[in-house]
Amino acid sequence: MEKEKVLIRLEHITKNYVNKHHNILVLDNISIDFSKQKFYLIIGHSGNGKSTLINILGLIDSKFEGNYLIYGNEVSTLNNKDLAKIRMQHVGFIFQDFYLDPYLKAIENVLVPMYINENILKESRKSKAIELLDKVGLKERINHFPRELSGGEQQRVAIARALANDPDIILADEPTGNLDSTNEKMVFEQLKKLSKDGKCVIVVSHSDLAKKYADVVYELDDHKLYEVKK
Amino acid sequence: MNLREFFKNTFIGIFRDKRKLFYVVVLLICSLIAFSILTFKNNFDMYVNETITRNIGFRTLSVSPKQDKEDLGLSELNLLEHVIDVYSFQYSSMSVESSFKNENIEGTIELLYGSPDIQPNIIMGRGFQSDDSNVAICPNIFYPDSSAYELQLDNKYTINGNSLLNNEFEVYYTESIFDTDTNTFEDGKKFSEKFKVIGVYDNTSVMNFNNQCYIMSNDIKKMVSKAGLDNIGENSYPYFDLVVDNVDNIEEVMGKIKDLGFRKVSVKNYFDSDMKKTIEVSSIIVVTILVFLTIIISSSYIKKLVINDSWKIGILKTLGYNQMKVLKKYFGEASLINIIIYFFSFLIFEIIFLFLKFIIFSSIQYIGINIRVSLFPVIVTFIIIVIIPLLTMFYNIYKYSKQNIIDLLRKSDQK
Ligand SMILES: Nc1ncnc2c1ncn2[C@@H]1O[C@H](COP(=O)(O)OP(=O)(O)O)[C@@H](O)[C@H]1O
Ligand SMILES: [Mg+2]
Repeated sequence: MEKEKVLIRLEHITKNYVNKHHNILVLDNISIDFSKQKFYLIIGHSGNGKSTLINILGLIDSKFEGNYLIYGNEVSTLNNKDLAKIRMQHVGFIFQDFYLDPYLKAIENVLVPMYINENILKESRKSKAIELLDKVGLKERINHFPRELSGGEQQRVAIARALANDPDIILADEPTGNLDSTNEKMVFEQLKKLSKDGKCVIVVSHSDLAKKYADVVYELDDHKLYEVKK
Repeated sequence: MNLREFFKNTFIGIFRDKRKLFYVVVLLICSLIAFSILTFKNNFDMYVNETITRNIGFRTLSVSPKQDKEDLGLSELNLLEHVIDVYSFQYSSMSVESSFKNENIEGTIELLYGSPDIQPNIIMGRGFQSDDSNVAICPNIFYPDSSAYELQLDNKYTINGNSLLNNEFEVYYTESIFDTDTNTFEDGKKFSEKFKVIGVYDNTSVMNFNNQCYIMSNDIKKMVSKAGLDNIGENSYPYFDLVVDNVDNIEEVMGKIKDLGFRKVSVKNYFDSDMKKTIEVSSIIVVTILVFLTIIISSSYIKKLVINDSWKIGILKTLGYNQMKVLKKYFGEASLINIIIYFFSFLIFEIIFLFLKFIIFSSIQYIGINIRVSLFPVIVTFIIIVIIPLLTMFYNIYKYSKQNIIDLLRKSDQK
């Protein structure tokens, strides 16, 4: 693996959910690199800790043991503000439930992350949002509200939103869990395209279809990650 | 996000999200109520302070005489604390003809009992001094005609009081003699007196008529006696007019007079102090209710917006908004909405108010009530409609903006 292409490096990551009564071990001493221009698939049984892992990767969970380097930054040394900034610049997150603002049109949903990005000129935001929606095949639907879109279309709006600030890392937690097979295919094709464009795409999915698109498949089992030969 | 986008997005939000629209409408109504109640209360207070308390009639008591006492109780009354003057009621006023008479006005003037302690606020010239005699204080808009009592002034013939300053006028009156055989009054001798106008006062602000001039007590006593108006018959005794130094002391003085054994005491121009209390208490109650209402409304609004939809904050944070930016977005929007509500309701209130003022209030301005919007309701409403809700909301938004993303997203998964 070429060094400069590595965007994410996990070293000895261990995650326990601790509360008063329990101490649940979810991830046990995981070390792994993720690189540019690759489509990673993470599979595993429900409750094995896939979401936990991808949340750590997405910097939305920073309570874990071990070292996490993203773009050369050691996550444990970063404060909340720095983490937010890295999320804004480098990470696009896609959820199973889309999480679109129902009161905003497709284009307005895509604009939300751009408002806080000083690198995008005010004048070019709108055209950029349209371009992104065009890229996911929704050029005709930019002024539709989420309720006027199908599940697949909504997820594609969510993908466009995740791409708004042009991140290099795309994380998706069961992005097609709520979609039929036609829409599922479309979403994976989008994600594949992104990895071909040079992004590091990491997808958690149960779908068999996903394996066709993945460059590397990992299975999370018994708190550890194993590479699965395709 | 620049200011224009911020305004635009906020406005769009109000019209798309029914919860926001509902909040705006409800708070707008609260705001209008606050403006109305506080303006009413404020005007009532001003009316009491500027008019009632300056009209001497509101601090003049009518006291029944003690028939068994030689001086009818006068000396006892004079000794009481807070009592400025006591005199027989016949001396309180006297209606006379005057040299102002011409083909357009009758010249009728009403002379009122005055002294250095009993006189209205002078707006030009000077007030009474203890050794004055044959001097008068007249209205700034002077209308010596009996139609002044009906508040009907013919503006063409009103006299600018200021122009009278230091000029003399003459009054004419006739002795009336009671004929015990026929039981009628008959005219007797004719008299006249000259008065110099030394001061001018604003009669509407103290609810006096435009033909009422104050003269010194000794002058009016002399004139009433000469005219025989203080002669009220063999077995009748005159009531006393008793002037108290301050409206607030009326209750106390009345109590003391009753303690002294005078049978009847009443306020000449009765002002219902219960009404004042009722208005005071009910406006405090309404304002308190409004304060609690806006707290409840704004916290349930923000609950719906922030707590029920906490996933939105979770998503914003996922997309790279830090706590400060989340806070700015939500609180900025809430502030703008509340300020919009405030200004909009102020505008509506002001339009309704001007409309009412033009239609209704203009008719009551004659009797000294000048309704106006002052700073008091504007500030208090701002506190109720903007400051208090925003503090409530800030607390809630702050609490949720600092939660971690997973909790924020999970909370709404469960609903
Ligand atoms: N906040 C939490 N507190 C305690 N346990 C949790 C929490 N989140 C997840 N878990 C537990 O961690 C395990 C892994 O969960 P998750 O990462 O969601 O699995 P997956 O996404 O593979 O289904 C599960 O047993 C789950 O119950
Ligand atoms: Mg999961």
